[in-house]
Amino acid sequence: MKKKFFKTNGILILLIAVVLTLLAGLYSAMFGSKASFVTNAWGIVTTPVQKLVSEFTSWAGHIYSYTYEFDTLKKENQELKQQIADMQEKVRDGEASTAENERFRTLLNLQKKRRDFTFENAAIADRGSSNWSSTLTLGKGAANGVKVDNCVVNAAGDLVGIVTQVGTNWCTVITVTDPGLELGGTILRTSETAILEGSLELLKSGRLKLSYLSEQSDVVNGDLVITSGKGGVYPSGLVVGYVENVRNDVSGATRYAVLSPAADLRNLTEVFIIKSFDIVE
Amino acid sequence: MPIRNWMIKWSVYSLALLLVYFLQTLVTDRILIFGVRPDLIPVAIAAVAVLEGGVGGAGFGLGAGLFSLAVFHSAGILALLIYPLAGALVGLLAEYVLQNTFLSCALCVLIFFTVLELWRILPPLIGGAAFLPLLGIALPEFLYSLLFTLPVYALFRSVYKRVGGFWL
Repeated sequence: MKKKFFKTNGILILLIAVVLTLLAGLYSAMFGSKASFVTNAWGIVTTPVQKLVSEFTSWAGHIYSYTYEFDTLKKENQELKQQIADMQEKVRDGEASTAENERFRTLLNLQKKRRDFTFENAAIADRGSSNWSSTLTLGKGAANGVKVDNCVVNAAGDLVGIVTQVGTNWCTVITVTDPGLELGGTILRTSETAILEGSLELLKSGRLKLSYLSEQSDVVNGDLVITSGKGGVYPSGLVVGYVENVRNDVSGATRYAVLSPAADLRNLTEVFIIKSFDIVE
Repeated sequence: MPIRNWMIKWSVYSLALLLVYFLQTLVTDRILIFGVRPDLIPVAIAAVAVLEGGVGGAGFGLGAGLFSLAVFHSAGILALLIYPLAGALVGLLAEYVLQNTFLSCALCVLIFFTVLELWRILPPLIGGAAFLPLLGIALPEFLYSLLFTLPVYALFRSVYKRVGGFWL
């Protein structure tokens, strides 16, 4: 039945279709910029669907890209972290080098002033933890030419202590506050000489004494005290500390000055051992 | 006691001593009271001596003395004599007179430190130093160290409970 219908009316239907197509083409050519009612209706229905499909495709694309690129990003992230760590290390090294450079510059000034000094720099290996003494252990010893009674200073040339024991690659230093310390000191302003000594009484507060001041001594607070160099064992002119106050001895016969050390003994990390010097009396 | 167990026991005691050393150098050495820091090694010796008796105390004292000599440059060679002797005496006291309790340990630490501080004071005193400044260091050091008897004893007591005993 159907076959018969198409056999008899097929050509007619084809002609109608061709005419309709031509009419549509003609309409489109004449009013191409404006959507037809059918196109418009089709667009209204399909656009949200297309949009949804497009968004889904885009999301799926992102997921795919994320999955695909995750390993690359992870690797890149690790590389960047490593780079940051390397840069931070370089910054730290730079800061340490700057600080070291600063210390050596200061030391260079001292070296210019005192050309007779031969220095040996040394790191502090250990700090004594006894309540009865104040000592440092340095990482240089006899192998580096260090000897007992060598003076130890900081970069500014302030006296830190005196070497008392020497091993092959280490030495022990008693600091200026240790009760065992005893050397000649001079008040720079008045040129008065006296004895610098550590004391158990002042050890806890990190101070030392300038003992046996003369009755006529006009030492005042803030006076700078340096090593006298008398006897030739220790070099002269090393800054020891500043006078904080003047007290009478227990006997009342003599006076002594309490000194605050010029060197910051608690925060030292590196010191310089004076291995040789010219004796000037 | 088999040699293996004996070695394990004293290795654990040594590790506990190491812990005390770190406590002293990293913590208490930075917290000064009246300008002094506590001395925890003698407290550790007394605690072990009370728990392990005379022979164990002497052995541990000798080990602690050698350790002090190695790590503290300020420790004198006499630590090798005083520490084992004190360990032996405290251990014998705990073995025959007292019991191995915290109170016995506290009493032994008290005696140990009295002797130790006298030992530290006497040489400068004989050398002409004034007594009061010496007491100004010895007394706070004595009291501050005494404060750590309980935690140090608790540490070694826990070691003793796990691996200690047998009076070796």
